[in-house]
Amino acid sequence: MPPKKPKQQNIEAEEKLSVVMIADSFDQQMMPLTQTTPRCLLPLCNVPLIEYTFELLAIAGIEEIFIFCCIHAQKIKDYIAQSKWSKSHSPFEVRIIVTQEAMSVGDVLRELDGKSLIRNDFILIYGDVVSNMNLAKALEAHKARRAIDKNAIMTMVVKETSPNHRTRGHQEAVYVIDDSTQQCIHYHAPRRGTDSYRTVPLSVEFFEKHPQLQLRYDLMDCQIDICSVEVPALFTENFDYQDLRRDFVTGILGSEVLDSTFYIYPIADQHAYAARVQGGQLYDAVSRDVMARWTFPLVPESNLQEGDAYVHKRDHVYQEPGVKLARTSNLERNVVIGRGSSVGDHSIISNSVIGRDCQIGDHVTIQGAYLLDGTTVAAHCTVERSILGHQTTVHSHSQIGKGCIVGDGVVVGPGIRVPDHTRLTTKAAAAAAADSDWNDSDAEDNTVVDSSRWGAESNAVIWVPSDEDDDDAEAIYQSQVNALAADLGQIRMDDQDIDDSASEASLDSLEDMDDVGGSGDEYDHFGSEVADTIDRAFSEGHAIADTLLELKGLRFANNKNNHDIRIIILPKILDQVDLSHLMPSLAAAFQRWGELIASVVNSDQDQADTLSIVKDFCLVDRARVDLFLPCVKRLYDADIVEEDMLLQWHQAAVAEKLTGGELLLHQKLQPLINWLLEAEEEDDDDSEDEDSD
Amino acid sequence: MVKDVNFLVEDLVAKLKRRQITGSYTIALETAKLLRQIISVTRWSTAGALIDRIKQEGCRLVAAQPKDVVVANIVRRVLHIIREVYTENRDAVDEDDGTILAAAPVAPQALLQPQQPSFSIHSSMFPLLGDHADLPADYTRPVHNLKSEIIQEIQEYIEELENMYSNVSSQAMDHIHSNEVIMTCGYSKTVESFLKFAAKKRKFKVIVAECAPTFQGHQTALALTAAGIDTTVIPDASVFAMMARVNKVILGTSAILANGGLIALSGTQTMVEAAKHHSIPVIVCAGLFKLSPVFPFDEESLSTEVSPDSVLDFTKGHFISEVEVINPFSSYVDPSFIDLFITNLGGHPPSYLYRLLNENYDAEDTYLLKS
Amino acid sequence: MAHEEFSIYQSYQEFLQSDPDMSMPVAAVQSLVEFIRQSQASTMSEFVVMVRDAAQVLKSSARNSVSLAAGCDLFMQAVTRMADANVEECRQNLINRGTKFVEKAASCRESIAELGEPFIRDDSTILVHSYSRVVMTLLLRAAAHNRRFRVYVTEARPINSGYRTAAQLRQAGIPCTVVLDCAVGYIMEEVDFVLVGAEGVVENGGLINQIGSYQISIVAKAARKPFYAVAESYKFVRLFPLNQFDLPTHTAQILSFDSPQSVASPSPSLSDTNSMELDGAALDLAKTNPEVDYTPPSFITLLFTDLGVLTPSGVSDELIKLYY
Repeated sequence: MPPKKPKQQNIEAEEKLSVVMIADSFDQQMMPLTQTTPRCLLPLCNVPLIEYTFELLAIAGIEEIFIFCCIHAQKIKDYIAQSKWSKSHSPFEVRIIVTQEAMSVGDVLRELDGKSLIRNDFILIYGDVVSNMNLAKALEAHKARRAIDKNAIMTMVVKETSPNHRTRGHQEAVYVIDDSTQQCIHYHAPRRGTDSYRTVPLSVEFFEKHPQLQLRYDLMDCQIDICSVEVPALFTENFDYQDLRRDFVTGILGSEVLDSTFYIYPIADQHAYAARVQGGQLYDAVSRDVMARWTFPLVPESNLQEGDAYVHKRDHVYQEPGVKLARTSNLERNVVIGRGSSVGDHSIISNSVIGRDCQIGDHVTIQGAYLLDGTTVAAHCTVERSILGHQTTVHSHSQIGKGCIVGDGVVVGPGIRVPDHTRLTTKAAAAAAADSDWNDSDAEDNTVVDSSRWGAESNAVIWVPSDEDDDDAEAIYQSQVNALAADLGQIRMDDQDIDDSASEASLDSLEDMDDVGGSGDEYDHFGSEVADTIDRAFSEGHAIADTLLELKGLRFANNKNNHDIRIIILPKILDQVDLSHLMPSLAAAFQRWGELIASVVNSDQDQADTLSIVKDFCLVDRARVDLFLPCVKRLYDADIVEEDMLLQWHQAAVAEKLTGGELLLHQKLQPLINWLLEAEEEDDDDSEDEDSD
Repeated sequence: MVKDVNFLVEDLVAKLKRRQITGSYTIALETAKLLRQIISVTRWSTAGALIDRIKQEGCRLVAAQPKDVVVANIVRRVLHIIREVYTENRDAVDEDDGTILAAAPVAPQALLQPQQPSFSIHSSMFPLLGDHADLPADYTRPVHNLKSEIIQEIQEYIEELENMYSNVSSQAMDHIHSNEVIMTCGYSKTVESFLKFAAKKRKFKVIVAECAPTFQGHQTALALTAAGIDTTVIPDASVFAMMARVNKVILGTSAILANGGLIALSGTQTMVEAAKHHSIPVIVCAGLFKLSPVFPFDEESLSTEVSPDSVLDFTKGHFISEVEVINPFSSYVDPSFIDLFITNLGGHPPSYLYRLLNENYDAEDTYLLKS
Repeated sequence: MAHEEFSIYQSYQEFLQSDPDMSMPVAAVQSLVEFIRQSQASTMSEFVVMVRDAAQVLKSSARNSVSLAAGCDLFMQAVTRMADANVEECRQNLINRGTKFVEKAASCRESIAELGEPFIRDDSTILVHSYSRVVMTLLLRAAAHNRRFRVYVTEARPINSGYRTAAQLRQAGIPCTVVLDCAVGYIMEEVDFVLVGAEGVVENGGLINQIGSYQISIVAKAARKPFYAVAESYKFVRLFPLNQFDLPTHTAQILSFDSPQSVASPSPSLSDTNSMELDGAALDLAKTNPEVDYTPPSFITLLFTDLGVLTPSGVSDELIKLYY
């Protein structure tokens, strides 16, 4: 008897079981591969991701699927039209809805609400979820809950992992959960560098209503949600909600008006697996999970796609007939290799997926890499932890470093070393992308630059992110930790040293990465918009509330955080100060705009950040040195910066060896500090020294 | 209700792939019923055409779960039934006509040959010198009432399948005696019914190895205890130690291969090795439908590996990226460890299996996927 | 009578030499067909006696007659089955059948290779004994289908046919090492399975093959490695040997003990051998040593034949079908 796996459960057929599948990633994590192929059609272990999702839904007994496509809609349509899911024996009906203009999950759900396609509870899923769970059970749980609690609008499927699990990726959400009911009371997933990034604020109310709470940092968000019909409606009501978790869940939970409740459904009890391939790092992790058979029965030799014929061999080597292996080649372990591929002598492959019709030469080392169909890797090459798109060619004696993503059709080499974390695309594709409407600006300038850098026969250029997306620190952070070969291992090692507070440590070490990418010039577009807003506010005398709303809108639209706002508006406001009439004009500026500043400064970190911005502003021009002390004083007086924070910030700065302007500024600040210290000593004795390092 | 045959086949294929139907008995029954339906629903004029059709649909089913031999067995069995019915009826027609088979002077000894097709692969050398040349290849003659007879035969076969458990277990009295100690492992419905049948009249003890990580042994123990059998559960590690006091080992299996080897729950091999060391007889209970004409050419490929989840918790984050976890569900057991097979047709030693194969299948169907 | 000028054994030898791929039973059948073609028997009984005599001549003239006998027996079986037809018809019929048989014999090996191929797993190490055409067909076919494997070949003294195997395998790009016959025990732990051809397959499923097969099977069994035999079905013979001395090839000279007096010249010792002497000694040894041995069925895992893959116990059924 084969093992018992999810058995079909016939759910009451009174209402049609519908699924809303979003077949767009709305991000650039897998670029430039997704230039030509939508993420849900990217092969994972040589099977398009969407097949896994369909399989999951077929097991659950779903009857109807609405697929929302945005970019590459035609490709998805074509794919489904030729797949078994559109044949008469398909277990469900697939309806494809194209919403070209949708830029986020929020847009899609508003569209869904507008079309009123759904009348019952539905499953919201993405086209790139890999899971062997029994959705039917989750649905039952949701329905049972709905019967009791009409306000239960959403059940989020989560899997218990450990905080640093490779498949968990770097989701940083903290779930506050009622111990007995699995109700999610608070969902905390702050953007990096923003307010309360490291603290989870718990309202006293939580404890009043729920006797026992769990704070979970070990839950992997499977990105499968069972939603009631209210969910799309709520999106329509809150037109600025974009992200399902950050905006919607946080927003609704934080709302005073709504009583809607959220629940989680942990699938650990099912011994099931579920993960969404959200980026390179997860692509790697999920591929390895599939090869290690965590997703059983969704393993390569199940041959989900018609016509596949993989056979499972020792050490998790999955091979189709018609693979030519040279006598001295070695498929070490965890390898999937498709029909028509050949491996040359003395080549070693491990932890990798090789597509169909790939030619691998002699003396090649492929480790942790993913070669899509038709790839050629010539002799003496090394490919490590990278993805090579369809029909790419790597000429001999080349090296592809860790974390590279090479787009379809790229030719590299010979004798080239592609540095770690490089993303390459073809000139043609780059030009096409530059032409397309959502990337109109200056991509061209960047793409034409390097011609023969990637080898004599190369057609490659570095892929440049389109600037609408990846600008803010969060996105950059995300793209780094989600990068294919992000050195998570390294981070994990660090954590193990600090054992108990593993989660805390992981945040720490990642913060360093943030600094690497967070600075620089990628603020342009958003920055100019914010600056314009402020300028208009100055010139046209807008009310603070209006300006704030506008800024908030901009912030959401561009996926920004308060830091991004502050760094622009603070200098703008300080610029208003007439240095020749320092005190009065400063007072006037704070009178007018203090409230605005206060509204973008919340947490302790925010305060420190504000001080740093002011300091940087004053450092620029010698004339501004005198501005510093009064300005800080004003911030203190206006309660924007608290006393403790100010002292801490100052001490931290002084503790380092300061030079030049900075030293001068802190010296200027000394009177204020002294005054504060004296005042404090009178008050009490032990209010400092908490986490001074 | 006449559903599209294609739909039915795809439905079963999908269920097999998704492991929505599990258990060899259920799979066997489903397959047999589906094939019966194909025969009754589709149009075909000659036995040859029907054979081709069944082969074609059979291949699709087999390809769904190539490691599961039961589907292929049922397909082979049905093909065999078709040939048998055809041959019988055709011969009847021949006799009516008064004509003798084929070219009369050439084949006098064809009459001497046993009528049923032998378990020999396509182009045997014998016919050339011993000759009954191309007899089996001809399935083109129209035969009266062929369809209804075939369907009736298959119906009988399905009934045979349905009675399989009782036919196996009814032999229990011959093998289990009072005060014996029986060891078994994992869970097998056949073994369960076998032991329960014996327990109606005899008193004996059963020791069950729990079979981590599936712990199917617990299920067996529960079922047996409910039937009033004195049952002990032991960890897999102590199988060898406990073997000394055992009189017989009775096992279930997922499949029996042509050489008498088994594809059985992992842990079975350990148990039979221990039994061999202590010279304890090993009996395997299984329905005949589990007997496959395929030889174990790649023993490794026969084992099914399932999710490592039950061995190592997925939550062990960084650990699972460092360690390789393998969780074979079933594996191959060598025939030299088995003393007796008890099928619904009776008891047979492993060396006798080839004859059962000859009686139940045609050699040309052995490699379904290749043809 | 014309047929007396026709030497059946010579014809048999010619057939063997003209086609290196031809095996002994096939050559036997072909020479018997040739014999019939030239014979001029008038009555059926005369015809049968003539053929039987010719077969007997053939059997007795070859030193190692096991597989030859298989061909003769098969042919005689066909002859006796036609005993009630008239001579001319029977003759024609036998000639047709015999010719067809010879034609088909080659394809026989192919079908065995097809059946046996899945047993040759990728990345396996195989021990092969001596030289066997059907084993070669199987190995070359597997190699042509991109199966990667390594082969140890026994030297197979005194005929040293292992070198021939090795040369052919190397030509096909298969890594190959010749091992001494006495090194079989040494390399057995490295081996995944043993593959041998056959001179004949006997009624109990046992095997008659090039000397050394038996001891390899014993070593394989001790090491729990599969021992596979590959044989065309026309090598099935109606013999039931109970031990080695039961074989038809056994003669009184084989391994008889020398009388102490007859040891006039001392057997060459290691110190004073040169190659010439050794050759002579080897020749002597070959004369007094058996060419084939008998491997009992309990040592054989499976037989690959054109009738399918058989367990040794399955052989007798096939033989019964063949001869009764």
